Amino acid sequence: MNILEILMMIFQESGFAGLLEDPKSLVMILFACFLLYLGIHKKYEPLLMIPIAFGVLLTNLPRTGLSEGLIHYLSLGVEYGIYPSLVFLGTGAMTDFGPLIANPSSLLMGAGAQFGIFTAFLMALVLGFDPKVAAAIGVIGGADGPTAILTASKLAMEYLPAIAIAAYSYMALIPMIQPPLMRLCTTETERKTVMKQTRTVSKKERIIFPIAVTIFVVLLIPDTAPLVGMLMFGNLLKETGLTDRLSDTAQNALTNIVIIFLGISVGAKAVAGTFLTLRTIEIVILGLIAFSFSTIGGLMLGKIMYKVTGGKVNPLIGSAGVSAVPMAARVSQMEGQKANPNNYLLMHAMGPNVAGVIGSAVAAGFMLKIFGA
Amino acid sequence: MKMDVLQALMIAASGFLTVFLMLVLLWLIIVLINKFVTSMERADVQKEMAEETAEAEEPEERLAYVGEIALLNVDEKTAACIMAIVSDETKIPLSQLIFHSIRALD
Repeated sequence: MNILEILMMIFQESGFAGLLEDPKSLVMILFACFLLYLGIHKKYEPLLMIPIAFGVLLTNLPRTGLSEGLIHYLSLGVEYGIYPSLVFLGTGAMTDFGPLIANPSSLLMGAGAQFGIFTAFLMALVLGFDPKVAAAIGVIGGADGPTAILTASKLAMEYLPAIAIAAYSYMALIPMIQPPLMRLCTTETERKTVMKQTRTVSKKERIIFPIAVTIFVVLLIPDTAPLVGMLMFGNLLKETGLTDRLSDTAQNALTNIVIIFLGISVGAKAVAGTFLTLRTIEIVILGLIAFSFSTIGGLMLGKIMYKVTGGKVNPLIGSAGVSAVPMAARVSQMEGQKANPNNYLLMHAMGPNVAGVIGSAVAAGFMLKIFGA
Repeated sequence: MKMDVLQALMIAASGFLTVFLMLVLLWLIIVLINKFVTSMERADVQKEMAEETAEAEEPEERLAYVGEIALLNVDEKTAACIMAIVSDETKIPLSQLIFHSIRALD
């Protein structure tokens, strides 16, 4: 065997030769680089976009054998719905439900903002998606990444990467998607509404809330247990004040570790064969429709509450019902201040915002109940 | 899995309704929690007030008891000195000490 033959053998067994055999992988590698650009340069949800993009890159490099080893075992956390639930544990430990407890009527706006889930579900059916897949696509409208991933992992595994990428891309684009809709659906007078300061919430209420929500919601829809149960457990760790170490771990170390595993695993599901199809483009478009209708649903509930309360509720806080904590609440604050510089809507918008987290978990639980069997 | 239009609409409508009902139920739960906590706090305040009242009444009872000390071969001035010394030595305020009798030893 001479040097030329050895070099030829190395090339023939290399990933470059693999790319020549399957050029679609090259397209996926370019797509992974584009996602990395979005995450790093454009800062679109970088905490998840970068791991997802790197997962796409790793899985599409030919002849690595990763999909039978590391990626296979990491992906079990997605397949069994473990990672999204653990992310919810961290989210619960980071969430302050005080604004919601102080103003429970904001739950209605959180419910209204789930409208997009069911609209996108119907539209996906019209486009010919299987009902299970349509349900998973609809949940993108909840603007909650872990919820969308959990639902997709149970109902539409083959479309998981497209759904996850669409969900996180639109969550990052909320400051661009929502403001035009907010201005379109509300009047100048409504946007100028200044809301009164809410009451102080006692420690006892904060402690009882997660326990009561877990009992009632999970008893009514048991399929919400992985999301609502962990969300409320995380919140209880935070509110008791006796488990600071656990709360700190849930908020930081655990969440960070799980996000790395989750991102890599989801990205690694994006292989050329299933990803480079017309269906992926349809899912991306349906995701945008879901987001838009959810925003409109929340705003409409906000407008109803504005009328019912005699102008005490600013309808702009309704759009924050599309979970995406706290980005959507910040958008309400910014739009409110544009209309009236003395308007401070952030704390008021946090009520519908965290209500949206519960609402989208309930909607996902409903979809799993209907289509999961 | 196939689904007709009516069935799809029914599922979408019932899903949206379920989310609404669930969150309305949570609203009621939050109101109930608030009422429960408020009544608990009110009960705590009443208990504290009752304890404060009882404490305020206690010294009067003890003062009344002072008048019942049996003094045997001891004049009132000496008894007062003894009570003050006991209080000082034991570091217990005089109002918290009860003397049944003070007797002069042979």
